[in-house]
Amino acid sequence: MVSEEEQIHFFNTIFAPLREKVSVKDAMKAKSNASRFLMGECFGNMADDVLEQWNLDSLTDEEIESWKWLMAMRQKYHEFNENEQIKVHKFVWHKKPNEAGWGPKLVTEIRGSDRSEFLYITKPMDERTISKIRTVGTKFNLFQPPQQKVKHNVNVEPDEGFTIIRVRADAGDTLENRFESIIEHPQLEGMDVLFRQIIGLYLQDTVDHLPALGFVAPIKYGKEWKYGYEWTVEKNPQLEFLLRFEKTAPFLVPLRWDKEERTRFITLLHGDEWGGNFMAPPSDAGSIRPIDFEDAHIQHIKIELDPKNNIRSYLATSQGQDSPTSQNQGSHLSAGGKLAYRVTSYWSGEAPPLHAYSAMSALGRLFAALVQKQTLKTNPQEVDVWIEEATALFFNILRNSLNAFTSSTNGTKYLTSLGLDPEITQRGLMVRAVLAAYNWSEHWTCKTRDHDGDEEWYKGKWKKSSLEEFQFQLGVQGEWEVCSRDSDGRPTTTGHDYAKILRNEIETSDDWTDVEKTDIRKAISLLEEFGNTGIRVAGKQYRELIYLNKLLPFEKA
Amino acid sequence: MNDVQFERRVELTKHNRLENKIEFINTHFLLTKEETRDPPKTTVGYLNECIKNYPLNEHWKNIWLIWRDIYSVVGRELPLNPDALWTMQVNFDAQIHGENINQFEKILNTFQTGTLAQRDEQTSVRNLVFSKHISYLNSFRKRIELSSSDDTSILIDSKISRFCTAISEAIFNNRSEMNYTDLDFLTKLMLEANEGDREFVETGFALDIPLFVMGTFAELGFNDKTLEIERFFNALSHSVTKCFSICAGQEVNDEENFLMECMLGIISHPKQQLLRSWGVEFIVQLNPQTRRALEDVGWYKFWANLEHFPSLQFSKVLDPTSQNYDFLKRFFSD
Repeated sequence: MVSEEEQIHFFNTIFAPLREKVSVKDAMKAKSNASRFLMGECFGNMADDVLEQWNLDSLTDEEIESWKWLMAMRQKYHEFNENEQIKVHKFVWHKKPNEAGWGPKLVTEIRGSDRSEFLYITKPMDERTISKIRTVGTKFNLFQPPQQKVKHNVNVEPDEGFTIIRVRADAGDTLENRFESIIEHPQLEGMDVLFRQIIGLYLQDTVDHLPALGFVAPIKYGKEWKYGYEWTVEKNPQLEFLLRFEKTAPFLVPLRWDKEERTRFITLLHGDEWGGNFMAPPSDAGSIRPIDFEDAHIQHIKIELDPKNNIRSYLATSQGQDSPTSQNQGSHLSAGGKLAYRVTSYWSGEAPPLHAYSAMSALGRLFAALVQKQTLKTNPQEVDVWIEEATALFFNILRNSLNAFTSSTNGTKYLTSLGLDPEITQRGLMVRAVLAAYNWSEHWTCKTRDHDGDEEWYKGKWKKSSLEEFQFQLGVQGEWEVCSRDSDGRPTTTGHDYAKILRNEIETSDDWTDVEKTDIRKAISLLEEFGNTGIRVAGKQYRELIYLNKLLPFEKA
Repeated sequence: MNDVQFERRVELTKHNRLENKIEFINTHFLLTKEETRDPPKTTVGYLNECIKNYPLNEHWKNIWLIWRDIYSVVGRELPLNPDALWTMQVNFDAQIHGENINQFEKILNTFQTGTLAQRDEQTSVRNLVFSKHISYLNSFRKRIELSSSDDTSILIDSKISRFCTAISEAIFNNRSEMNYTDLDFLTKLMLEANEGDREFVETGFALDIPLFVMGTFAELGFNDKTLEIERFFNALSHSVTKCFSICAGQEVNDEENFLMECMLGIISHPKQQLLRSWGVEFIVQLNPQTRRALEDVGWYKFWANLEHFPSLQFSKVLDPTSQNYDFLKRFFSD
């Protein structure tokens, strides 16, 4: 028998996050107690009809709904956890008052040999919400990489006491777990493959011969970054140049289309990019896939294609209202979650501006999230080494992937039609990805952690040393992205620029003889050698233009 | 600036054109080689006039990066122009140059406090700035390797060596006394400049600094074998080896006699003669066990042979016009 005081104490514990702002520790305690109750570990010997007699007078409507859901879940829990093939993926409980989204949920994974079925079991939803989630989920599934074997509509079923959202997908491990296993490996083996899989999701050039990437016009004077106000010139002079550069670049957004209506394009924003919300494929092939669409946004796009499916202009939002009951009318859809509104401070309405769907920004956020989480699990002595390695590798692969797109037939046509310089555009996009990672690294500095005596070593949820190293590496990376490079990928230096000055002479003037040109070319090659090494090289013998020996970058013979 | 006469040059011949370009390159080369914000006034004036008369436009974009350096040196701000996309590229040297200058000044500031005790207080700041800057430079190594498959990173090595050299020379030229903490910092510079495959861009660092540090030993007590001195000797061994190999030339074969011949031919500068003399002193000081351990080491074999050549009188090679003359004389006078 449970006394009324014990009942009230239990309610106070599990509903504390709904009533006031609580510490992380108390939020975890609320979740833990709710979870234990659901699994029958707490008040496990009590019959359901006895629990139903508990006095709910002290609870709000929202709390009563959550309590009833918890009861219903407890009664069916054995079905969701009946054997080794069914795995509870995660349990989500209330964290704070006025939460948006689906509220408490249990996510299970039913594992098959080559595919899994994810069940999101939420509180009961009304018909309109169910319809909306079904539509958004089904469209969101278009985001899946084309290598995915399983393509299907998201199924949303009302049940007694809860709603079940079913999503099927190929089997795999979470991105977070995969990254952790790589970091634990001394040589970081497999990191390059994993980064290609991450980037592969966002930078698919085409899917089924239709363009899967499109450009949105740059915002030269907009406020793109949520934490940008802290990027003052004094604090981060490195970033000043990058920010100015970034404003010149258009936004690259992912494109998909309705299966039934291939001319109706959409773009997608996951909205909660972190390693636990993506699955890594079981083999080296393919891309990661997103598994949680609660915070997703989907926007219909106006797109102008020529007869050969080349995009002719910048993308724009198509007109129309959010109308989940009619797939053909709505221009913007979301599944109810609000987390996506964190990505910039520029907007807070229902329909995010098109640039918020930026693929490069999403990649920057996802990478920053992977790093932040992993630094908390890694030996502090080893963190700096892998942060440098991972940052350099991630952005190098991203640059190569982007280059593959901009130099592809489709990419070239697109850039040409918009009058965009491929190299500068590519650099601007890279800078945006770096800044997005930086911006998101600031995100966790604003999070609070409980007092545990280690406060001096932390800034928000970052270890200070890890944050410092990560932001330092991002600063270096940003500088590297704007450095000019030769065709072999080596950085160009003043030596190369000196060489350009001389090359310009023989390319634009036709009054040099062949012998003289040969002399000038000799000097050019020496200047380039000086540029590649930074070391002065020995001068050469010239046949006619002896005064080339006066060039100071050469050592005197 | 009044002494600068700017001349809009008439380029009557193709040779005038090419010579002007060579002059432009040479002026810029001297400017960046200084690695400080204090180039000769005439150079600054010349560049200022250049800027006035050659406004940035598409025609000049090929040398945009050079202009960018020049603007920063003459203290002008050159904002990016979003409508001229070609202005968005940054030359790697320009990037590093700007950062070098900032860190260079920070480190030198820790030497501007006057007394040894005050400088001691600045040690941790100085070491931190230095370490972070070396990390910054080294961070590009991985990126160059990934981008170009070039794993030699000679470019980064030369940047680090040059940076260390520039600081060392600045310290050398501005200090008349040192303590063990300063010595430790110089040792650190030498180690960084020599690590891995790095080679000296200029020989000044290899020759002048050891001389100066030797003077410091004299001041502190030459026979006092502290940890700092041990570390210095190790660093110096690397330094001298590198320096000699460069003096001898990369293309020279390893035949010892030929190397000796090259070295004796090259050692003509007073400071190098001094180093040779000091080399003899150094070898003599080593105990027999260390000598046996070093028997097969190239630089040791070379130095050991120096004993067979007439040593020079230290006092004869000291430069009386040097601002450190009095200080060095105390140690090196006969």
